[in-house]
Amino acid sequence: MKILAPFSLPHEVPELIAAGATELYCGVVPEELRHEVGDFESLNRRRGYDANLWSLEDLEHSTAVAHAQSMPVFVTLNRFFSHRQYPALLQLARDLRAAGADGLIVVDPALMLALRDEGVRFPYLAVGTGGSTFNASTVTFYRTLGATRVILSRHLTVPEIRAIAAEAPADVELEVFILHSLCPFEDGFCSFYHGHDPSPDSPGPLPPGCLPSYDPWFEGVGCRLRFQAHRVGEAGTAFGPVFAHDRADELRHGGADCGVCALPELLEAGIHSVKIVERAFPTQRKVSATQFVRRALTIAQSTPPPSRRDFQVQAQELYRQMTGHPCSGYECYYPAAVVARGSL
Amino acid sequence: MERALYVTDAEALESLSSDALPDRLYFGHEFCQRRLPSARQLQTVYAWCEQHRLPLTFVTPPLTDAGLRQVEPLLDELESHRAEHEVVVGDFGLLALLARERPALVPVLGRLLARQHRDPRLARLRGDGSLVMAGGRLWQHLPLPPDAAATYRSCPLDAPALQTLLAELGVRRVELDNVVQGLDVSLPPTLVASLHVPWVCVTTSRRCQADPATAPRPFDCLISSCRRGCGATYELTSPTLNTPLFKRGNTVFFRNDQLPAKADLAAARIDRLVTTTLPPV
Repeated sequence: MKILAPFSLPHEVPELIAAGATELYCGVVPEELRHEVGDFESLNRRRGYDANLWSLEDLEHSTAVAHAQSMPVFVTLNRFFSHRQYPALLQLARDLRAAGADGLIVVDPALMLALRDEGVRFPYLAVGTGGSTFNASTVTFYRTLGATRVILSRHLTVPEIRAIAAEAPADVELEVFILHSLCPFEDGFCSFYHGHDPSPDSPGPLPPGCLPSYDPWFEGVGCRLRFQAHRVGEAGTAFGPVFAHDRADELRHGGADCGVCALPELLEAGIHSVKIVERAFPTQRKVSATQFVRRALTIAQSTPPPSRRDFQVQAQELYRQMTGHPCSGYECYYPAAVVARGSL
Repeated sequence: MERALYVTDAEALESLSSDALPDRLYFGHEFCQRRLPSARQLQTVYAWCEQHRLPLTFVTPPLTDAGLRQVEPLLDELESHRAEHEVVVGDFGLLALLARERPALVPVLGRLLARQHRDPRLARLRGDGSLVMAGGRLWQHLPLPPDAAATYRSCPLDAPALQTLLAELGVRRVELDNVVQGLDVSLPPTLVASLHVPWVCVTTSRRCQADPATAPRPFDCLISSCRRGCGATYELTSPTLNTPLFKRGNTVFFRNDQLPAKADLAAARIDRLVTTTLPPV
């Protein structure tokens, strides 16, 4: 089983490899694009330097280091696009390939078709979780569009994942999330926007102290807002603040969203790779996350294999060491797979 | 303009006045496979449609492999009738199956797969360069670059290659939300569109806590631990959000009662309005 780890700075590549990553991914928003359209969420749903490489040279350097260790690098273009954006996107894809990217992570079938029709080919073409894959038939569908890998929905249970793996075409690699960013809403169906900053070349001059913005009132991604709520049709039922999905977030206490307890079952299901999320996290957090998953995977693959309960007890201790908090259960990707709750 | 009524529950038909019938009935659930109707419920609705001489559109949610098996008898039921029935799909897996194995049914691309930008806050991305105070700071509220603004009014359905693929899969209709930033989706002559009003779907989840007042238990947020708490609608307000959100079941909506102008409807090839009284969960 591969461990796919995120990076957003070239110097993170050797650190992540040393920590146990076997595949890497990043976002790339070249400076020219940023100057042209501003710092948008529009390429890969993440803004800013903290989540993306900002030059093809940085990508070239990163892929060179990764390739020296025989490690593939994926670049994410995990957004749905309008065909107006294709000329720039296809040129970017060609540039990414020339800079050494081994694969793309995409979610838009139209972009997959455009890449195919324009002859822009990569050794790997992964459909991201935003592709909304809940069944094996969808995996087959994406295969016809050129997918070599499909990253399944975050919200599937292990039995649902197993059912997909049993029926999906054997030549399509399946990947699931294992750590961080357990979005409360289904990625591919969620259209809470992530905000915009303007281009550095925004029109001016501005008055002293005045900042340019496309959305001065942007208060954050919708799933992170705190709402007052009331039950429609029932006066006097106001309560809050709450999140738009549920109250689980306020019950968390500093842990990390995690599915490591399910590693043995994911191995049994034949899952090809597990994904660590959050390109924007600080380097040390990405490194410690990769070490955590590597150590847990080593235990899961040891001979003789530990019992499910023994594995989860050990995994939860590693989790506590990484986060400084015991697993609370609220951060769990695969809650039905957890049998060692008594150890929490 | 065809007018369709969308109900998620067969009992809703009992209160419909016979002198205010729609041109078509939508029945089913777009967002949760646990809300798929039974074959008996579908039979009841079909009988009602026959009695009132209305065509039926059956609405389906995103489906797991178990969900695909669960929907099979419902599709059998639809195929057993001579009429040509539409099936709204919420995932490409079902669409591929319909194209391959159910040529008698007419697939419609559901609004979840249209992948529009549906956050109500996009209405305010229309800055005019004016100076505004927000969060205790002074800002210049810039208009989006024209190309960026255009992409927010569109969606992947404007891509000719995808349009061709959809035609190959038998899709002749797509479902759209009435987004606040306006519609600029260039559909080809092979496709027409339905517009859902007034409830615009912002987001949905399979980690469902239908009642936001209830604290979920650890290890118990999955749709598979459903407690069927999706009967109530909650209004969610934030001082900085320009419009309230409405949470019903596993899905969040906002309300947009402002229909596009007739010319804009025609330009978007919209020939059907699909209405619901409550958020359709």
